[in-house]
Amino acid sequence: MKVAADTGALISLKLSGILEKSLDFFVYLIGEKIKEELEQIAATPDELGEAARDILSLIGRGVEIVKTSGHEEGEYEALEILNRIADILISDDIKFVKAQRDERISFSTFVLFFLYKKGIFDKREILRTLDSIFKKRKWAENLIYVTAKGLIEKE
Amino acid sequence: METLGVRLDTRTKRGLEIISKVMKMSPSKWIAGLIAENLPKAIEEVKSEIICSYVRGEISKEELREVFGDDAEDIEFVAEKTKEDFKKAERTR
Repeated sequence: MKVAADTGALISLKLSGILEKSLDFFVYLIGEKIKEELEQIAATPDELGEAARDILSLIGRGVEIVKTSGHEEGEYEALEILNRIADILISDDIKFVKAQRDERISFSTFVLFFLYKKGIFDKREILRTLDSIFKKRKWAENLIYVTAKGLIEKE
Repeated sequence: METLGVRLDTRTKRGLEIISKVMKMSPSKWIAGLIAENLPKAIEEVKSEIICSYVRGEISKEELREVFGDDAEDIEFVAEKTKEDFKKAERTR
């Protein structure tokens, strides 16, 4: 499945340790703007920087660069990729997802749910994965993943 | 004003009496001040748990709004969208 992804969604997947595991099922398509954003983050000497460097190292091996018409914001570049060639778009920008109201657009937790439903992760592993990401960010930044946790706990 | 009954062990109650004597205010007033001062921080720490409870259907939209104020709208949207994504993942697999 071809997935257009924005910077935040890729970082979330990397931090939660599921990006590499998802590459058997998904190809992530990004444009030059998102590559540029990742390069900026990669320049920082912290955990986010390390995550961005790891994502960039996957270019050509599951993360592919797509030429676009040029955009100021990564989300809209991803939207162009969705409308041209991708099956879905993942973004953790709540305002963007809310504004689009498009069923092809999901939060990055879709990938987590897919791997869970596919049996790649069991419930315990998923909850452990989610707890590990919570330690790295504040609750507001974790809102999407906190919600995913509540849903999986309910299962 | 609401009254909240709290059971304390003898040692804690005695400590509270001494503190209130030093602070020159009633034990209940001193405790009320302490709760008012610390509750926002405590709520901040359990916000993630409150969101999970909302998603599991254990607390209402109204209760969510009381705790999160304007942020509740985003939480409600994320909860609905996440449920859709969960179903979508099931269909996609």
